[in-house]
Amino acid sequence: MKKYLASIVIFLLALSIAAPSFAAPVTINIAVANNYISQALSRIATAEYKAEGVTVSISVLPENDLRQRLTAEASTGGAAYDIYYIGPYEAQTWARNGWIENLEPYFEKLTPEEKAWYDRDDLIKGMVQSVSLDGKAYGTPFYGEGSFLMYNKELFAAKGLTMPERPTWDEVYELAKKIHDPSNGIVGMTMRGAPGWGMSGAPFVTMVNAFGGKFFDMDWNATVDTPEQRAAWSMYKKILREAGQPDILSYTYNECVALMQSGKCGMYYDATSIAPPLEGADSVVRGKMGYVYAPHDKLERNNAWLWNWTMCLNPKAEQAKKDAAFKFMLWATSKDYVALALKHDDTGSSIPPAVRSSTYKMPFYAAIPYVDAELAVLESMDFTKPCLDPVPYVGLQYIAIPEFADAGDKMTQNLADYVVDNITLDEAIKRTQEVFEAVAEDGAYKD
Amino acid sequence: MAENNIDEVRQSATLHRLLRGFLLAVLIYGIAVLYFFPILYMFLSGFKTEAQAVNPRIFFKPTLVTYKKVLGDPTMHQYLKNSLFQVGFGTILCLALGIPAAFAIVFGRFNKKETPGKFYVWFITTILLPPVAVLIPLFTWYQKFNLINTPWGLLAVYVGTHIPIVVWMVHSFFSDIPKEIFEAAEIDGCTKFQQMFRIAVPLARTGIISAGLLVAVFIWNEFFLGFNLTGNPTATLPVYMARFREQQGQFVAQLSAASTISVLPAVILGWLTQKALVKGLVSGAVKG
Amino acid sequence: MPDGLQYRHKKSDYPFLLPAVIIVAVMTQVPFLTTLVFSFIRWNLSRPDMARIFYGLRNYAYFLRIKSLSELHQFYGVLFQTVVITMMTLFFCSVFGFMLAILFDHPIPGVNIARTLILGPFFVMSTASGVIWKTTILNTTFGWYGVISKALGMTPVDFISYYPKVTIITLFTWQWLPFFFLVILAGLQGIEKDLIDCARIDGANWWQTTFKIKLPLIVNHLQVAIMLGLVFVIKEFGLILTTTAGGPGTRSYTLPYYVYMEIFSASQVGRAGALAAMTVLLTLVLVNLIYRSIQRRNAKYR
Repeated sequence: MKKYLASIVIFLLALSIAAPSFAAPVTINIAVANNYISQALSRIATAEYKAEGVTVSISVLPENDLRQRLTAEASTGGAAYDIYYIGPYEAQTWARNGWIENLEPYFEKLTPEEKAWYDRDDLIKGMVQSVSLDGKAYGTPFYGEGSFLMYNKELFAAKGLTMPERPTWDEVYELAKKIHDPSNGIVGMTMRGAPGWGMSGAPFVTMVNAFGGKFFDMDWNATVDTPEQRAAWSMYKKILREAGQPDILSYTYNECVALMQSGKCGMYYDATSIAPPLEGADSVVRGKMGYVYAPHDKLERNNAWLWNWTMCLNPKAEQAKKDAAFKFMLWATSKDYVALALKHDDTGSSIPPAVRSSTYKMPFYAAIPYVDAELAVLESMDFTKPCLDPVPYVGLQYIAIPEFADAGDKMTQNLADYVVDNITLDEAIKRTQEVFEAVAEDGAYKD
Repeated sequence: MAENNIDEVRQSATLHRLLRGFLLAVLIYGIAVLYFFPILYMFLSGFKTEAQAVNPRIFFKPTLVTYKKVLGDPTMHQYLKNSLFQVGFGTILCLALGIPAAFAIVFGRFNKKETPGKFYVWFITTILLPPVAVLIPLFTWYQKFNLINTPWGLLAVYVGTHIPIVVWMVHSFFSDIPKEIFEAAEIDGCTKFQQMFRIAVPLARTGIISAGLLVAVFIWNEFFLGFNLTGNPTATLPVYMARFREQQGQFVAQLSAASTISVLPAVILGWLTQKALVKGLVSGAVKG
Repeated sequence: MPDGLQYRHKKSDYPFLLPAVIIVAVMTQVPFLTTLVFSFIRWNLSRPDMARIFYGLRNYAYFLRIKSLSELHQFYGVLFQTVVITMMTLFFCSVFGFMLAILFDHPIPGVNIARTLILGPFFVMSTASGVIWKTTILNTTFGWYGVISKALGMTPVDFISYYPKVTIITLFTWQWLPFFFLVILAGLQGIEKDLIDCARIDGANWWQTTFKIKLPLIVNHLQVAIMLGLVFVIKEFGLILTTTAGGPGTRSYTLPYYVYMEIFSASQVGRAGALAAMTVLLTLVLVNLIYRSIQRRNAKYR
């Protein structure tokens, strides 16, 4: 019997030698989201990235998996991934929690030639801000988006309407009603209707900001039950119910884009990254679209949203890996990479947008209709002052606290119930007010 | 005249039976093929190009392009290698540790008579434990000790959660062996260990092989723990399959080829174990 | 002294048992007990600035507290969904499994091949089943369902969004019915042919032989299938993740999925622990109910 057990132990030892080598000396592990531009990074890096003794292992995960996996890893102090591929929502709290590394020391160590090559001043300010804490960069944004209002010039012309360069929500609502024509299958305006903080929550929260609303005052008292918020709630409903898509709640941005592409919709408020498919070869509305600033109300500037995918360093990784990883991050967010992306894919769909001003000055962009509007929106954004009044949080289409994901989901659920008349405005506001009161209490923010 | 009539009746009875048999066969085969259709179609679509796979068709010009592409993909190799590692070593370890345990439960001597029964029940109850009940601490520990990036962590959980299945199944096969054989062997000076290896294991050979195959199938297909306790270099095939879930309508051919490769070994092994599966799982439970 | 004699004196064969017991205990019992400990702690992974403190039963209260009947915590909805999905799956598996087993018990040529085909889905990994059904069958544009219903002049419905529970139950049934089928078929084949022949001679029709004679004889097998099915169906995760991902909203959450979201999405270790503990409790309660009914039935027939 002892021999038997001994032989099992020997078997295990033999196994550990025979086990396939699962990690080369310096292998940088990174997982990216499975969207087009991130997948392109995976392809281009495999083909083009060369650094002595360094292997980059990139896997592509569904966005939700990625977010959950990385959050769980960062919070438990794991080192499965050396580079975290996250957004500003995570980056803000993670920087505060010490889950991602301050990059300033790494930037300081660069030679002057390297500094000139990377050209930090070329990066769009709002994007860098969104992944910085106390003015120190904690990540290098890879690509991003703002939001603007897209409209179908042809439909506008047919009704003799014009779009102001900086429309208000009231104007947008009036325009939407004029264009809305169900008997001919024309929809006035579309926005995301499917619940979820990253879904209908994104346009809706910027709408709350635009109307001068906020979610907390400086003492972390929930401020959902205010006239400003009520105005935003009823405007969202008015537009979608009186001039919106028929099946409101099932619309994610995919459905919205498809509707817009079909040429049967007047306006669409969403991310700047939506514009390329509208101007794509198979789009009916190609060349017929106009682009203007996100609609406003009391808050006249800075009412768009801002998102990006950013690479950050895992502080738990070994120093050698961190150094190699930082080099890779620089490469992936450099001007060189932008050029490579165009070389590998001459339609330009792989180019990471919204991070470098120089990207928009490339000859490739000269003839593209949305470029000026996009760059104007991006350069006007201020991540740190989301609301009309001072607030204790940052973030434009969300609040950068960990509890917001859950609270935002509940809020958009109430919003959905309100839009389809399951509950009244009073009930929706009351429930959401309670949700945010619970957040302040649960997260011990008032202490 | 009368005889003729009887003949006719007999003939029509045979005809009737034949017809009934034929209809029954059509029905049975029809249902079977329909039930199996998603798997069949997956298998077929792997032989399409992406352009062909967009439209559902059963008849098309088959090509090996997609299979070649999937099999030539180094990430696929990685997943395949990881799955084979877990299944191979997991199964061997489960058998190596589970068989002696089952042997001791059926034939072992303990201070108290009810001890083996208690252990048996204990093993069975661990099968009831849903993996969510063990995941949270395992995840935090694995992160802390960086076991996520090595195959050992997952292997340990797989061994720990699949030994009870070996014990359960092998137990029912051991129980069929008459105890007298061992008494005779003991008088001849056979040690317990020899009794197990020379007598019990060969007699329960088919059962043990089936238990091993079943565990192999279970480990091959296991997703929840594999999904949450692995990283880039250690993820297994079910994790790979889950990554296809957001690609509506794209890469159907690639998805089909990849899933065929992931699914086929388990289905074939599973078919081989079906008889023993029933005996091992059911007879134990019917009695208890 | 040979080993055997030594053991006979000690009257103990623990060395055979212990390695297995230790590893099973370390990999299942220890983590489970730790989960229970977690369930009494306030521990939010995303807020390392908040101290981990003993939280009493407040993690449980978070889910169980009833503020008003109209606004129950979503836990109750998820609990209900879990029970409905599990029970409906087991019900359909039993009914259709029995029907198919009766049908496939006929000795037509090559029936074994047909049986083997039915068995297939049981051995397919759940994530593969999920993505295959989702993309090649249920998809309204590229899937067979979409193509066929368009050919018949109907508008295909996106089942995954509109009927998530029905979708989940259907897929669970597809995957688990073969197991029921296999076990019941084994039961049917264990019935002595004489018994059925006798009944036939006594004038019993098909209906009577099937439901009055065969069904009672295989009830034992059916119960075992239900019990094992319950244990495995209630912990199923991959199929839900790959098809509906719990959605829309939380309409197809089951308890295991909820635990997963609570730890990986909300980062609430304590609450996830409490949920996991309640999941175990639910499993035990359901297994016990079925086990009791088996015992009762056995007692009655003895």
